[in-house]
Amino acid sequence: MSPTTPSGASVVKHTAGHDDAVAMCAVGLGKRFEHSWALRSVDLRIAYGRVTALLGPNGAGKSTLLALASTHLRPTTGRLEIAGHDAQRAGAAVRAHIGLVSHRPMLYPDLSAAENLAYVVRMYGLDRVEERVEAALRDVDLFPRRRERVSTLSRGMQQRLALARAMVHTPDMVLLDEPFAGLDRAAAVGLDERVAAAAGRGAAVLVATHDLERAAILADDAVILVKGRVAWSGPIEGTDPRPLRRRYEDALNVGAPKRGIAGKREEDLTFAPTSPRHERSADANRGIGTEPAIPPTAMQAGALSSTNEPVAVFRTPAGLDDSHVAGAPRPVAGVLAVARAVAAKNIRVEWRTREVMPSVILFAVVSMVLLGRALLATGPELHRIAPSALWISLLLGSTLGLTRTLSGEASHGGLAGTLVSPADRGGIFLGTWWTAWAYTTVLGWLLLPIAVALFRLSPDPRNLAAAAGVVLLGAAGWSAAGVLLSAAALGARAREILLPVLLYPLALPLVVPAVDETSRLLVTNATSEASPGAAIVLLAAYALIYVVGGFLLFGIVIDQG
Amino acid sequence: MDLRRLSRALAALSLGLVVVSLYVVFVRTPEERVMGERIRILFVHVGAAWVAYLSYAVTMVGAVLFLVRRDVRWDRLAAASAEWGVVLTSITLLTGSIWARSVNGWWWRWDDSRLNLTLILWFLYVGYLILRRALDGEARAAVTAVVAIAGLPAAVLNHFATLLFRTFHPDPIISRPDQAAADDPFLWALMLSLAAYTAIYAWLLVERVRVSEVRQSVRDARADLDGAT
Repeated sequence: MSPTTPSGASVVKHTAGHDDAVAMCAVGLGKRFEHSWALRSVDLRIAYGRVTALLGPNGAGKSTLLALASTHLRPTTGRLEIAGHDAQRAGAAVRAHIGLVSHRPMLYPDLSAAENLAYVVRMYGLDRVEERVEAALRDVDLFPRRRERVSTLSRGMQQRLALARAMVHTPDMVLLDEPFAGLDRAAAVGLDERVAAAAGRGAAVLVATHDLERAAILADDAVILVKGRVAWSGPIEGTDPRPLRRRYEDALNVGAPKRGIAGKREEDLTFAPTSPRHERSADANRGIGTEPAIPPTAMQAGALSSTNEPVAVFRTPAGLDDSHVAGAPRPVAGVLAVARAVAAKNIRVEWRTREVMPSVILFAVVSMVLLGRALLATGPELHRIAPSALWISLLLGSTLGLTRTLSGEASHGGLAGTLVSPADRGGIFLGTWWTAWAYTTVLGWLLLPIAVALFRLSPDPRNLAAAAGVVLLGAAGWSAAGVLLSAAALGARAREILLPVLLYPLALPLVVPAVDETSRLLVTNATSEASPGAAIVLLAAYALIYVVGGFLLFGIVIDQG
Repeated sequence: MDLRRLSRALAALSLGLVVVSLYVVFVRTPEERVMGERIRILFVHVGAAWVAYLSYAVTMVGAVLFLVRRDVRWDRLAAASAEWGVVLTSITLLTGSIWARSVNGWWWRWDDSRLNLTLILWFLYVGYLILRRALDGEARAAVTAVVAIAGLPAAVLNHFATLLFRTFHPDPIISRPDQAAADDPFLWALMLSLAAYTAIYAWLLVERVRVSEVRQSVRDARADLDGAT
């Protein structure tokens, strides 16, 4: 009979048998944070068709290694290649090949299960969206719950959906960071089976876990990290967890070596073509597995290398759907498709939660009333201060919304899910900017009649319409600058306070022409035939510069934030 | 290039230029007909303003080159220049206000394009430095580089906005050489002041970069020691 994990799942250790096919190769990989090294001199290869358990105590560097593999972090030293692509230089190409399940589900809680997956499919630039979503949902037994919001699903269901999200593009390499944390037995069983199935179809699976019993049964190979170094790595013998536990305890007791593996010479470290899993556990292949027998040479792909150059041959496993493989520059249509998906998602979430706009509108109106009352006390005629109060209220209110633009997504992990995809960063900027522009414009259009009423203006209707156009133009540049800088502030401490500090100096050149033109239209009641003058040119230049700049620079800040 | 040697050379140059310019500004330059002794404020003010704008340009160049080459030394240059930029912009605003108050009777005017430009630069510098303190690790260099670049169009557009709509500031004399006499003692004093400011800025910039490099070396050594234990 096939072995079972501690949770009771019947699994088979898989090897699809791709000679010399290496999914991931790290050479001298190191990652240093401000004051300490999280990973040091890691040499590692992960093979296609095998499950590799990443073991180690807290702080050993497991999550850092997965973050490097998912391109979320950049290595400080060494090189990391995934599916033949340099993780540092070809981030988008690497992201197209990986599927990540993190501590958090990386889903949008206010979208349904199906909407979340459809969004992810679009982020990967794949076609047949509904078909893929349905298949992914059926695979994790969530198709009947497809219309339910993620926030209403149990933790186990969310984790299954997170796995579906990670698998929906059929990745070559699956990264799982403590995926069993918080799962009940039934949910863990399902996860075990799906991990084994992923390896069965030829994907490389790297799973960070503290659960040695599960690792012994589920994984073909193990890597033990201690203090950021590989303390031991090799194939797991049998399904008995005791030898692995002894290895683990030895590694902890000895500690991390300065070079190589504790107590061993480097030349001893290359795994010999050992007997593959199915030979070690004949019962295993009579379980649920349907994969072919493992050729002995497949184990070579799991070998460590002490050389400085990767010698691996990268090859996408046969049978995997590689239609998703990206990396080449996307056509304009692809960028716009990403932008549309992001904007649609943002508007849908806002429509359901009404989290931002009601507060923003109320705040802006209160600001305008306060400004009007305060400025009136200084003595100017009431109607003359209307344009200034209008624009200051609009900028204050929209800043409140911009503060939530990306930080809201970041707080529940949805943004991380977006960024782990190869979606064009310029497309993500455009989608986020469209949404912010729409919100700011709507806010401005709501404030216009309120300003007319509060400040007793009597503009010509055509001038009022022209003022609405000025709001539209001013909001374009302002929201583009705001989206770029909210991305810049995203990784910072006290980001809510920081955004206005960064953004308001940029508002000065916007306020002068915007107030001047609004004043011309609403206060002095210029005829609509009059030349809009330099104000419109400046507002248009402002919008053009920040939209283009944001499109080009957004990727730099969002991938660092 | 050996930064220590460069720093010493710049320090010697700065000292020489400061001594000469102080002598020329306060001893050799006569009182101005209208402004009297108050003209001397301008030698401090214009020099500080020139180097404040220069330091923003250096920050911009450092930011762009960091993004292109991903070499952290360019980030150190950008940050060091921004730090001195805050100091020099503050001196510019302060001396400008003091001069305006003593000559024109007001501290500040919103319709002055160069006052606005200097103020926006000050805000940009301070925001840039606050952001640097709020970010950790490798994100800091890339993100602040983008923020520095994003600030430039705002500064330029703000300058045009103020010029187009309202403006007040004495016309620049150096940009109109046809009206500046070669034997004008005020022009010579101003040029010397600019040279002294530039040399001091270059010296302090190199020193600040050197301190950043030493700090980084200490951090590296500490991290290596932690890793070895």
